[in-house]
Amino acid sequence: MIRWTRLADVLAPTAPPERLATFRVLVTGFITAYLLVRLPVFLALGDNHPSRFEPVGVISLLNQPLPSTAVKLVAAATVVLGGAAFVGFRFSLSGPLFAVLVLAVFSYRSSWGQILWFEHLMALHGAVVGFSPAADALSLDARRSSPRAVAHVRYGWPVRLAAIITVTTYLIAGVAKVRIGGLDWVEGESLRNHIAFSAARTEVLGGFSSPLAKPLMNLPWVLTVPAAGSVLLELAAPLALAGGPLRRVWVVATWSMHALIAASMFVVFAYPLYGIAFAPLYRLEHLGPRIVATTRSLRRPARSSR
Amino acid sequence: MTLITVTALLWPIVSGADSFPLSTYPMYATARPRQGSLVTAVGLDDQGREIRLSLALIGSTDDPLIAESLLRTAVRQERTGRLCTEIAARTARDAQRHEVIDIVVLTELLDLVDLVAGTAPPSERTVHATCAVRR
Repeated sequence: MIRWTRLADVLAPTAPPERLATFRVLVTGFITAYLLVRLPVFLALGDNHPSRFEPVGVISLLNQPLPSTAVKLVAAATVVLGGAAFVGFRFSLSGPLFAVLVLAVFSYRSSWGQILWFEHLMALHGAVVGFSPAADALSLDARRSSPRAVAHVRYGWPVRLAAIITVTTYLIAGVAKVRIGGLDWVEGESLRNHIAFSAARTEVLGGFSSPLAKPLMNLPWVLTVPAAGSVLLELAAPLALAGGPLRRVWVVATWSMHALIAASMFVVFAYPLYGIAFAPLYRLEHLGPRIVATTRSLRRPARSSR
Repeated sequence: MTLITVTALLWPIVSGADSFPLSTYPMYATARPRQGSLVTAVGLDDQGREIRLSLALIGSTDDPLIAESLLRTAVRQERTGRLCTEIAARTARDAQRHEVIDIVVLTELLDLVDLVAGTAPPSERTVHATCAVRR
């Protein structure tokens, strides 16, 4: 009985509404900004030749690409709904619609012969946020409603679920390396060759490769630790759910892995690099007050120096 | 709900199906050899000299992953001729590439490490399509 209670506490903890609301702000804010920055790419999907269409996920329901106008309208609507979900406006409608459209838009982008793995976690977290009561605090909806929402399991389990999704995706990536690459992967040479492939591909396609790539070519032994470390990190991802030092070490090490990938291969996984992927592992209700306190403490010396 | 979600996330490990948003996350999972082949497109000037084209001209993108996928799919679907014509049309509109008169779509077999280290010997090449840049 006690064990079941503990398991319930782990999987569905009671939390203040600000925890889920802060996660909503982070996820919808990041995805909306991402869509805005990459909007030309999403709009251009409507101009792709139909012969390239290889639908994946929910897009498999379509037997041909959408008309160009429909693609542009859906992309624009996703951005608008992202803004509404970010500020928590009519969230019971804007939240689910945003989640569905993000899934559709990202799936559509991966339906042209290349699955883009850096968008999976965003879509999954978007779905968790969109279909949860994530606007019961820190939102326009919450301003209009009364009484103020209080701590409840419904604000705790979606964030916990998002944390479990984060670590599970890393675990699957680790399993893939062990299953496909085996022990060869951890010897460093394979990672060196991946860096070489990434740089060579960029060069023959007229782009710019990382300046770190060239010096690393003659030093495969330097990459043995990062190669073995990345597989271990991915397989050990579920340990981050324990919190405390294990979480801290895992998050810092995994972020560093992404930073190394970005620096050596110019392959940027923005969602983890900006920390949003790891956000649900923390008690996010403290983030807002901390930012406010830090901002105030930074302002004080500036005022006193006048 | 948590159990259902985790089961769904882990399902691709059993099924082997890489999709969206459920995936096997196979990126960088292979033990990559130092030799590899890359499909690309290059320009030729009137002296037959080779000119590297940009990502935007080759694939209408700024992402090498997407450009590579576009080229590989074209080779797989045996429609490099049309892709060559599309690249030629984009090149014709680019004033900075006025010296390019022909486009060649080809596969290069490379020693990737030597290429990046700057000591690459001439690569083995397979030409898939050649087309003229019409201005």
